[in-house]
Parts: sequence; C-alpha cells; structure tokens
Amino acid sequence: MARAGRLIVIHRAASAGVVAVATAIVLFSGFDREASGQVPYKAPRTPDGKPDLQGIWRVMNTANVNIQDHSASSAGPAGHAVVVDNELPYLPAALEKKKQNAANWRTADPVSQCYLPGVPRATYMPFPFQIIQTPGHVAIAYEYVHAQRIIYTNTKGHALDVEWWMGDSRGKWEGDTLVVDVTNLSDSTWFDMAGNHHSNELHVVERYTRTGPDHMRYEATIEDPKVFSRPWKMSMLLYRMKEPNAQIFDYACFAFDHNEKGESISLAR
Amino acid sequence: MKTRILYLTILAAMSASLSPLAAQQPRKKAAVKAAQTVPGAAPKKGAAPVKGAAGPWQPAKLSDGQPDIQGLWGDVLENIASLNVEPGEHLLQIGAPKYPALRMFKGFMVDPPDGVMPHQPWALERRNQAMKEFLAPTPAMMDPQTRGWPNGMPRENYYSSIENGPFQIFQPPGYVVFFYEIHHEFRIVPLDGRPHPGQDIKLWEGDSRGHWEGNTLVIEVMNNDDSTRFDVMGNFHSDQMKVTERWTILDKDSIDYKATIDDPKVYTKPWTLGVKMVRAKPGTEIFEYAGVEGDKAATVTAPAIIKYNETKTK
Repeated sequence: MARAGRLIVIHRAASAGVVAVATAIVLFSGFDREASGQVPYKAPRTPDGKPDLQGIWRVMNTANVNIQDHSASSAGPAGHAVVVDNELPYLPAALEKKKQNAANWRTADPVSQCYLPGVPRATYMPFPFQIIQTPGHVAIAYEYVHAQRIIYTNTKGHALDVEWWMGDSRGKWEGDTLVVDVTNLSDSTWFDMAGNHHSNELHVVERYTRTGPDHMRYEATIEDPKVFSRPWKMSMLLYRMKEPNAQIFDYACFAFDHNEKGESISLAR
Repeated sequence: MKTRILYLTILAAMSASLSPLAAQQPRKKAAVKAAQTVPGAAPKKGAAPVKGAAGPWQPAKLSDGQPDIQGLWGDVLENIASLNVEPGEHLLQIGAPKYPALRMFKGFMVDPPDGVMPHQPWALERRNQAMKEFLAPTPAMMDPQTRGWPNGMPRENYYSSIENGPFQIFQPPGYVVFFYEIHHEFRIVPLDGRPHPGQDIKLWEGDSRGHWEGNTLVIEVMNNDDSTRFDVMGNFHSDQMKVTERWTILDKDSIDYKATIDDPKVYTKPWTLGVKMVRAKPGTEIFEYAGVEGDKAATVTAPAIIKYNETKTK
C-alpha cells in the first residue's frame, strides 16, 4: 500500500514535470498563444524599436465571399463569420440596398470590375500582401490589383476633403499593436461579394497585433452612421507565407480580357 | 502645389488626347492636399561633407549599411508623360504627327549618342505605325498607359515626376521599395542576391533584383510583360527584355538615373536612356491615383478613353 502510494506520488511528479516542460516549449518556442490566451507574444523590433510586422501575409478565410456566416455557393466556399457575433446592424434603407446588392453581385460588386477593393476588404481578399516598415511609415503592397497604402505613423490629422478608394491612413502604436485610423473613404467599395456596403462616412479603425512568429490578429472596427445603427467589429487571423521564394506578383485583372480574347496590346507579338 | 496645377493646366490644354490620364489625374485635388507636415517624409540628414575633403557627396548609411535615399522623388518637368524618349525633332523628320510638344521635348537618350534607338527593321516599321496613330490610335496600337494600365519598367520611373506624381523610396533592412503614385504601382527589390523567378512568370513591372555598388544602386529587371512601352511614340520591347538600372546618388537631393535596355528580339544592340531624379519638397505625400477606376473627368477630356470604353462594352 505504502509502495503503491509512493508510486502514485512519483507518477504525479513526473506528470507535473511533463506539463512544465510542455509549457516551457510553448512559451519559449514562440508557439502561437492566440488560442490559449496565455502571456501575450512580444514581437521582434525593427531598427527603430517598433514591433516588426514585416513580411508577406494573407488570410485563410472566405471573408471576401461574405463577412457573415455563409454556405458554399458559386461565389465560393462556406465559412464562418469574421464579423464578431455575426450581426450587422443595418439601418432599414441600408438593409434593402444590401439585398439588392446581393442579388446583383456578379456585376455590381466593384471588385468584379477589378476596381480597388478599399479598406478593410484589401486585407481579406484571397491574395497576399507585404508589409514594409520604415521610421514614420508602415507601407502595404497588395498583390490584388497592385493596391498600395502608406500608413503614416508620425503625423496628426488626415488628408483634407478628398475621397480615395483606399482611404487615408494614419497609425499609432499601442504597445505591440498598430492602430490605424482610416478615413476619406469613398462609397464605391463593398465589404464582400455578398453586397455588404457602406457610405462615404465610413470610418475604420484597424488593429494589427502579432500573436506569434507567423501569425497576426487583424481587427477592424466599422463605424458608419449613414448605414449602421452602431459600430461593429470584424476579427481574423493573418498568416505569414513561409515559402522561401514567396513574393508579391501582380494581379492586373483589368487587363485580362484583352489578353485572353487575343486582343494583344503588345507590339512585340 | 500651384506649380503642379499650372503645369497640368498647360499640359492638359496642350494635349487633350495625349496621355489623358496623366493630364486629368488627381492633381485637380492638389488644392486640398493634406495640410499637415510629414516630418518622417523629409530626407534624413545626410552626413555633412568633411570640410576641405574632396570627393563625392557621402550619403548617410542605414542600419544594414545601405546609403539612405528614402523619401519622395521624381523626374523633372521635361520628360513628363514620357512623350518621346528619342529627340522630338528627329521623330518629326521621319513622319511623326506635327504635334507642338514634340519640338519642346528633346528626349533623354544617353546611348547611342545620336539619340536614336537601334530598332530592328520590323520593329521600326511597327513603331512608326504606332507613332503615326498616336493622337487617335486604333485599339491595337493604343498606349496601354492611356487605359490606365501599368507603365512597366523603366517607364514607371521617368513617367513619375515631382509635378505629376512622385514615387516614394523605402529602405527596410535588405530591401529597396518603390511606391509609385502613378497607377499605384510598386516594386519590392530584394538586395540579397536571390534569383529571379522562372521566366514563364511575366509581370507588368517586371521582377527586380538589386545591389549597391558604392553610391550606385544597380537593379536588374527581368520577367517583363511585353505589353508595356517606353513612350507615347510607340517604342516597345519584347518579353525577353532585360533592364539594368543604375541609380547613382549625386547629392542629397538628386539621383542620376540610367536604364540600359537589352532586348535582342527588338533591337540590334543594347541602348541606354537617362534622366535626373530630384527630391520632392518635404511634406509631400503620395496621392491615390485610381486610373483604372477612372473618374468623370477622364471621359470628358479623353477621346481615346471614350473610344476604348466603347470597344469594351461592344
């Protein structure tokens, strides 16, 4: 009996040791702590001491098809909502417009014309993008229609009185999180192929937080008093492309119809 | 800002159908440009030259040892809209439409010394056809940039100008990154000697690999899509083109830019063009240039675009 009890004690101690070692591996190997909610990951720093968000990233979700819960369709695979709680607080008229948009998405979605996708949609288009950081700037180069953004982190205030497809972005660091205030957006872009839309009073606050060596949490708070009765939020993970030869190519889809119909515009052919 | 608007007004008046996007694009918004200043966009102070020491100007160095050329740059006015790389007078003599600006723009060839590109005979014939049509091109001859499509290399560089849309250089460790205002194009140039991707991958801005030789940034551009051109006069290249660029820092506010074109399918020998790049005023920020999306002004001022849109909707 006594021997058995001692054995149990030893066994327990061994188990505790295994757990401790496993915890240490998780903590010190840079394992993604996003799911476990453990100690926040501390991102490596750029030469000027800011959290380093650089690299080639992309989503692995179907938010471009629909930011809410959705079944598979000809638009794309089924997927979970990236909208927190799956609920979009449309005002009545805006909800009607959403339904019309959804009915005509094949031609009415601005992205179907290869137009700039806007913010936040550029983030969750099914294409990679590269983040570049220098003092005072976080620049993002998107593969989809070679959209570009420069987030200024050393200025106050936005550009005045202009509307841009990709908006005007001013950022600041809150601990390890890059917080980007995006204004000057036009009403020409949609959130997804499902017709979710906004007005030119759209105000987006994005939060980029590294959660591990190869993962980053992306959140966007959406405020648009013309379209929604209250602010709402979307949240998703970004994944680093690990292929050693990963690079941003170009996706100039506005030119595809010419080449594919054999209407070459090249004088060399 | 006023200079930008004034210049564009002149250019627009002068050339309603020439490079219409260049003429109409968002400089009309210049008057409402961001009011704030941008301390970070200002050039980093270069190391002051040692008093009494001779020799070239020495730029400040970044943490990875690169000379610091960050900030906004552009071509000077003479080459705006990349009308003609070769001397305008020469083109008029060989049958270019009598377009007033051709007398003004002397081109910017460096080699050969006579400024004439060494076309193969078939290529010269095709170029001449495009040149004759340039004011009212058939769709096949139309300059892709008229449609708001990318300019490709090296044109994206000398199409960019302080007055009409600069480009911004970022230098994170191990890279030189160009963000062009025109067409919201960009180039991410690794400096680690990695190889180009397979040559079956063609890219509108090509694939750029760079290295520093002292104060000269040397970039080799391969994987070039053959849809882009060198100028409005119809000068073109094949998808076999290799571009070798040399960005030589002259002083803190100017860079000598040269691009050597090696394309044995179109030319009999390599040739070189060159322009001077100058730094934009501190506080300048890149605007959005949504050329494909277009705006109403484009269709009002640009017959070529209207024609193109008509062919597209047929």
